Amino acid sequence: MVENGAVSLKVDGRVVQVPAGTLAVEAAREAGVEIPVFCYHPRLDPVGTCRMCLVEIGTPLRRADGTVETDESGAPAIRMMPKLQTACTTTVSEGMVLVTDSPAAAEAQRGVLELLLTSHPLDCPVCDKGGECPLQELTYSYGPGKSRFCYGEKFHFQKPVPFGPLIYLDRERCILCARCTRFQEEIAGHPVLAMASRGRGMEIVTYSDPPFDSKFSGNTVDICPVGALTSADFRFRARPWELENRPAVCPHCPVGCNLILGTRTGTARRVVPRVNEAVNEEWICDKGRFAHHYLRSERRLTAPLVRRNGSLEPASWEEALGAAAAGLRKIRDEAGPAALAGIGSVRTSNEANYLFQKLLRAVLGTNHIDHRIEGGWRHEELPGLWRWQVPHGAIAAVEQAGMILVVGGDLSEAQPVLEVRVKKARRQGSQLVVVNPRSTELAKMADVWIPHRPGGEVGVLGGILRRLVDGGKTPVEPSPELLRSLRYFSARRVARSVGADPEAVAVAARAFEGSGGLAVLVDEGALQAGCLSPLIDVVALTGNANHLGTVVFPLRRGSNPQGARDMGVFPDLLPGYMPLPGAGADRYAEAWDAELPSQPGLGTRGILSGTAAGEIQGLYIMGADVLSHFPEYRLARSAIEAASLVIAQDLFLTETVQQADVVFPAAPFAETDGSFTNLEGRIQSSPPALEPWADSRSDAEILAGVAEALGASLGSVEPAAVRAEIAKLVPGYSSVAGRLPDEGQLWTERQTREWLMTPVRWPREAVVTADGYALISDPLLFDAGTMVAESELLTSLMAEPVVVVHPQDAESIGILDGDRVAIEGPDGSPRLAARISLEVPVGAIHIPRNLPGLPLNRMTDGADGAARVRLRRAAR
Amino acid sequence: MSATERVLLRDLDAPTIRSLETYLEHGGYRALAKAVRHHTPDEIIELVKASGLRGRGGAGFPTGAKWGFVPKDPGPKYVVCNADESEPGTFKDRQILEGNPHQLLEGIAICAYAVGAETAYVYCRAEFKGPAGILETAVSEAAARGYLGRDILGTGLSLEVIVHLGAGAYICGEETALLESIEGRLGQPRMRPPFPAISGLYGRPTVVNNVETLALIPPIVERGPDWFSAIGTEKSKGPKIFCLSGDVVRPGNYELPLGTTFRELIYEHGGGVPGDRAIKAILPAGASAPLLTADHLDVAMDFESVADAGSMLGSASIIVMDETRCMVWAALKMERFFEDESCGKCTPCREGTYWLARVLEDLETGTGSHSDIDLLLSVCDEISGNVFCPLGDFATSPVTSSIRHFRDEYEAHVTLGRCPLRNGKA
Repeated sequence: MVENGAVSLKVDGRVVQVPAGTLAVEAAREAGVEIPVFCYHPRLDPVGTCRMCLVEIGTPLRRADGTVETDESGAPAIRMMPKLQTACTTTVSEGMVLVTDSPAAAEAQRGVLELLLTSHPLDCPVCDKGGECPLQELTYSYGPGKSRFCYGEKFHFQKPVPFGPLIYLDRERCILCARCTRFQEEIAGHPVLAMASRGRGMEIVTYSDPPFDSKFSGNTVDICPVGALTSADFRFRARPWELENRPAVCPHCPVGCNLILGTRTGTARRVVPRVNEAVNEEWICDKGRFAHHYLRSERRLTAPLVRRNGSLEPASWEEALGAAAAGLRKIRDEAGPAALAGIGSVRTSNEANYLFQKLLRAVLGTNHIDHRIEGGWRHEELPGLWRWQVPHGAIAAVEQAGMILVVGGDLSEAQPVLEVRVKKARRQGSQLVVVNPRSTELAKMADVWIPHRPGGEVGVLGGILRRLVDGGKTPVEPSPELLRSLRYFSARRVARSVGADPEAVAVAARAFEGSGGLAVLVDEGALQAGCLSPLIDVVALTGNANHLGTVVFPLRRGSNPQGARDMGVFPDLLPGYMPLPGAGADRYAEAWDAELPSQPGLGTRGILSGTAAGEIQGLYIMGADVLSHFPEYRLARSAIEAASLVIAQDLFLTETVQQADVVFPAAPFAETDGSFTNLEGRIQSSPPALEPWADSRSDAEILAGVAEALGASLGSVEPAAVRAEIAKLVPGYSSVAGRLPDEGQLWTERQTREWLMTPVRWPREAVVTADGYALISDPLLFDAGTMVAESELLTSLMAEPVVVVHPQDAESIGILDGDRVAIEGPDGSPRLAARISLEVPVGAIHIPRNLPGLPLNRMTDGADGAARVRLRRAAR
Repeated sequence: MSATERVLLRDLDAPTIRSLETYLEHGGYRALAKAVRHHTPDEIIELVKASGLRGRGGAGFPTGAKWGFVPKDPGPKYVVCNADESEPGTFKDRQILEGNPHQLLEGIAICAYAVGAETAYVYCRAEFKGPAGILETAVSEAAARGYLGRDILGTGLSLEVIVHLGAGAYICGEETALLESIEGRLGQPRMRPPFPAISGLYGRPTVVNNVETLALIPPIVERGPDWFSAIGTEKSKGPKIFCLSGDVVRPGNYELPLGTTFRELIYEHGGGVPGDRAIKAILPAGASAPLLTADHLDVAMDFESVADAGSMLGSASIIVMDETRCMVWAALKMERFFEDESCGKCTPCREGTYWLARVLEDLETGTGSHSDIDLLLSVCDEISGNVFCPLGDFATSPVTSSIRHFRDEYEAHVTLGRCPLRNGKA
């Protein structure tokens, strides 16, 4: 048999062909035969411990020369193994015979179940797993009707044992299959669970501090084959069979994990993963699982608000829409459409963002539109630019990459399930190179980690390119311009300018040679520093341009930043990246039956400056908290104060919403029908599972209402109609016209990439000034965002605000671990505890972004790049 | 070899042989010198194969063949000496560790040379704090004189010997559980294949041998394979330490050729049964192998003959039980041992041993029923052959064999409502 070829075997008399290397249990499934399992899980390494899958296995009898002996009838003679074998650990071979339903196998399976049940409490009536419990189901199919061990004694443990705030362990129910411990070790990469003690007294323990310290802990509940692990969220909340289960797409990060939202009596009761091999396989992070409580939070906006005599007061939809329209009309009539601007959202659906820009362009007549409030408003200057607005490759292709290069950010906190895929690729042999000033979780596990000064990513990449070129082994010749530009990236200069260790750069460059597929995961902040062009150079130079495993994913904030971009929530690009001004704009004017402004408008910063200066008077803000997140707080503040009209459409009374004049309560994902585009460019549909809360409405309805109040129309805003329109106008989105496949639809009409090598240039920001400390503000998974803070379970996991300082800097400031320091910002000097750690380089500090009571934008001077702050010791 | 010439229990003849000085006076480390100076590693393996040496830990696997499985390619390899001597009634390795440690170290060094290992572990059971200390002293002595450590005997070879104490689990005598334990994990057996010779300690090729096996290497190298294979039977060659305990006048370790009969061991060497009581049962391999009866006294103690008699020679720990011993009591005692020592990894062993002990308890105390006897056999069926490692199979031996040979005693417990032999004092 050739390796990876097919082998054919017989399962209970049925012939089936499977790839060589397949496990017997999977081969049987292929043949339509179920072999019962507990410890076996297709995504975990088999351990063969529960013994539930014992079957009879035979192989053809071979002569010395390797030929198969035959019996009297001419059929291959089979030698059955003397003992039953575990199907989960047996790899199939040509001619193998599996008998799964023989008396011996049935007897063994019955015996295993009988034994398992003897130490099981059989408290199914009050067990949360009841109704979807493999132990129940397999007992029904394979188990004995009654026990022969009627001793009136059960195995008792105190129950339950909390494993941190999210997960509870019931040791009486545990059958010690080790799925949870293996998941944590093999998939999550957080080996914080283990078996302790032995025999019948063996139990699962968590030995991390805090307990069960893993962002993926909830998955162990799903894969637990009994009710031993339950989630604090769902425990005793509902019976599984009472739930109405609807598909959804996770609204917390751009990975777009697929969910099943279980609802009962109009409330979300449980979130579990929905299998999508292309995106999340069958895993989700604990944020996606436990942060759904904001949907029914008491703090949700329930009715429209209108500012009267200086304060926001509840109003009817009619009043609010009327007030918004009147305000908008007045400004347009008096100051012209260019006095109006809109800021869209990286969280709302494609449909909402599409209609938003349509309202502003076609109805209000302005191109002052943007969605980028946290930076990222400079277009990457590349030939064929817009093609790079769209990610290249697919999440699953990361596994095909010989090399994974992660630049900036903190994937483990910001896009955790993508991190799971990176870890999987690592286990399968991919190399990992991390370019990051901080020792993030990925940096710690990387083959090569190149720390550098904040903002120095381009220098590091230039250094790697230079080493590659100097090595002379690149499969593709560097372009003359690239070659020339690399003269300025000598190891010495790179070391001096960005603090990158030449040895680490050299080791990384060697690793890139012949990397066989290059997955590039680059954080938005690093993109902003100008990384895209050198990264494309690396891909091109290493000959990886056309490799199946080559991906380029920009990692942006929000859950639908790609959708917002694709939908043209830009001042200078129409939906589908149609540049302005340009002849292509006519199509849109025709489709929308409107005169469109032809000149590009202003981006977020321009809008806010213009508003502060009085040139722009009306702001329409959808799903964006500008005051909390725009890096230049004072500019945002003065803009909001100066605007004569601020319309806000949101879920909560955010800082920005509090300053608005008209407030519309919006209905989020799970209450509306929308599509979202994830970081690989996969368009996924998320249908409604709940009614909109209170008097809230979908973004589409609100936008249509405003248009109507203005005496205009956005056309039908029924989800299907909007999608049909998007399908026509946005290249790559034709699939949204019909029903999207369950697994979503990757951009189908991708342009051929031009992997043009362009020169690398030192960015201006890399010139380091000695003044103050460079501020790194990477996200944490459990931050103080409105969507997390409403889930009590998660708030207990939220970190205290802290500033991480290098020991050397701590010494010069004169602080010890735990001392309070003042961050001297333009707007006050917030104090917070210092943590002294080698996690950051000298001269840089880390303050996790968006922690409670700590709006970072009050501390920074708003520089577009690495911000610098001053620190001093606070009085004790 | 005469029965009195000992090659393992040499401390009986030279009580201070645990010291390096005495060991050298008695020709110590000559075999190592001969091996590294006059033989290639492959020649050593061939020599061990030719001797016919089979592992003394219980399974009796040919030692030379095991060494031969280790791949020749470069990279770290390990020798692991299994000194987790935990089988009830087994105390032979302890005597070697305490009385003749240098011979073990010399054997380890020769093995390491043969397979290309530069690190060796001696995994001692937790209770072997004393013997481990003696062994550590021997390691320092030997290293100071160039028999271990760097540049052994000026050859450029190195061997670091690490004495490792376990945490007190019977299962760690199983070689893969032992490896897990050294790696700092919970002592539970690994799936096989891969076998340790290919992927063992830290995923590297590893030879795991019992103390007695390795201690036999120096005399084999020094005297040659023919000397060794002349002792014993056709398939079970060489001398063996038999651990004799239970109802005998002189319990202890006896170094005798394989193939010696139970009768000779018990009556000639062990002085017979106290009070000349009759023998009821013999456990040939501690708690792990089916018990034999007085009918088997003339069976030769070699791997094949004991197997033919329906049991196993195992580590040759012979426990004698005379006519006053209750077989249900004995089975219960052994089953409680297995219940306590089952590692818990696989269902049938973890749960099954508990129920075997539980049902036996009822029978022994006279509260059991006749159907309990068949229930025991049925549970043994559920365990036997269906478990992850041999421990579970072993755990059924005391029950099935005691019922096979002494079912009437079980029945009597039920009928009388008490133990017939212990006057109801159970």
